Amino acid sequence: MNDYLPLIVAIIIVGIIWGGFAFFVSTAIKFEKRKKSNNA
Amino acid sequence: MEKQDFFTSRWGLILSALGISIGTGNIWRFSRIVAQNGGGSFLIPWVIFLFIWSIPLIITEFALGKNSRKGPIGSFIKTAGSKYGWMGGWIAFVSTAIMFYYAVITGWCFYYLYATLSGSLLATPDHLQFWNQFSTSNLPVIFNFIALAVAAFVVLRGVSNGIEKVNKVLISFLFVIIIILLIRAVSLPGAIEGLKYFFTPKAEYLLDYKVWLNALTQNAWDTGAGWGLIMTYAVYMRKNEDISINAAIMGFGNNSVSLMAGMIIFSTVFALGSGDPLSQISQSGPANTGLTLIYLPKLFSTLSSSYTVNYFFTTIFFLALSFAALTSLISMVELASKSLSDFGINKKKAIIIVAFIGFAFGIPSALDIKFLLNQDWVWGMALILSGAFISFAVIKYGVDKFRMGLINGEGCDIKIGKWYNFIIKYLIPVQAIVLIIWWLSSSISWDKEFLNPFRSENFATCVFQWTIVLVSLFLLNKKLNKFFINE
Repeated sequence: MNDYLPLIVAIIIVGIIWGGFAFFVSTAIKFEKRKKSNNA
Repeated sequence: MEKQDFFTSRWGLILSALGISIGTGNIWRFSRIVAQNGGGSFLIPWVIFLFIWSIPLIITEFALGKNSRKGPIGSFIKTAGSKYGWMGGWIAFVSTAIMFYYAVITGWCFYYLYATLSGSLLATPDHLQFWNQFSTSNLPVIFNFIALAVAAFVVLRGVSNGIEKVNKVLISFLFVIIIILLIRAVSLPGAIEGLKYFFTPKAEYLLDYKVWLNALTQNAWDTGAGWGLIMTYAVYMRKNEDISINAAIMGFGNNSVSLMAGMIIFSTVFALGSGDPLSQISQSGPANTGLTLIYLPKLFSTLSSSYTVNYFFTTIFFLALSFAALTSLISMVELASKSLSDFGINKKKAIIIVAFIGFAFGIPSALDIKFLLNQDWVWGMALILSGAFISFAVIKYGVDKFRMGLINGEGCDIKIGKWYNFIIKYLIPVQAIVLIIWWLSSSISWDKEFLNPFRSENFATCVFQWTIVLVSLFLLNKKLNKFFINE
């Protein structure tokens, strides 16, 4: 179990931070597209 | 009346906001603090405090600036009331005081980039001596001037033509450079040991309250939350611009860079270092420069047998560091000049005044590292009080009214829920009080002469300087109000 602990923590921490960043960037892109199509 | 300038796009605003938060703290402070606080054990509270300190304060700053269209003083008068303009004055003063020595640090980064390009950094056999020679010469003053001149030049060009354009280029490049360095670092033989340490939590550290307080401090200093800088950029947000998603991108983006920088440094030091890698990462060195300006250049010079490869990676490392420092410095110059121009001074004049005053007040830090450390201790700590003042302004305005009207108002993409009320009303003030008490009481224990205000980093110097500024601003409150009440 101990051998896998850093890997598990890495997946969780990197998943939250980088995943959160990617999620919000893609959400912002989606909203921007929607705003542009509404304006058009 | 000067024409109001705006960020031309959402991405321009987001990259500029990232420019505020991504600074030297992500690259050289983060790894040192991780090493001192048990590696992976530190990362867990560090992630938690992103949610309960940084992101709520970033959201609040965006809302304050967007709705008041004023710098911190005007924002506070409009939100908390005319009695509390001095609190906005405190936020503006603290960030300006940080600008005085941060310009010196930016100058160091510029000099190391220059020294790398000229080949002198890679050629030196003794990196500590190289630093000592530089720091005891007049070069830090010259590079302090260059850093402020570049930052002022960008701000003088305006928000859309200066700040936005420069951040779009520099922050995009910074991400590319960090990714290149990350790929190189994690592919070094032996890098896996560094990554293992970086991500392994240890129960004894997780149960240590000091690790949690250091994680909170890192969030308070590193993400730009509570500095008033985001509030200032938010003045130039378009009316139909969202707050919540932009704030989340800023918080997660900043911590993503910290995480990458940590992985780069731990991989490199464990792969190339001799002796105990942990002590090399955690050692502060003179003015906390040990890791970044002394040890890493030494390691980069042994990265491979090819001089060109070492030259390339050292150059892009100091390029990234310089970009990170400059984009943060630009926001500090903008905050100080916006605060001045709110009093009716022409914006261009205000920028030039700020640049010259910044240079003059930075000279003591450029010439004497002890003075720089003193200022870093006093005004770095003061940021925690700034965070508490921001939550106070929202409480005074009415937390639910603030959330519904100013955050979830026009342009909002995702509505913020009631969790925000609880964090701003209770968690931020409690965290701020605990941090201030902990740091001040610790400072009593680490200096026997804690009542001597003329020491570098102790209790009395902090309380003494804070009191002078707080009392002065409180007495000037009526005069501060005069400029805003009639509007």
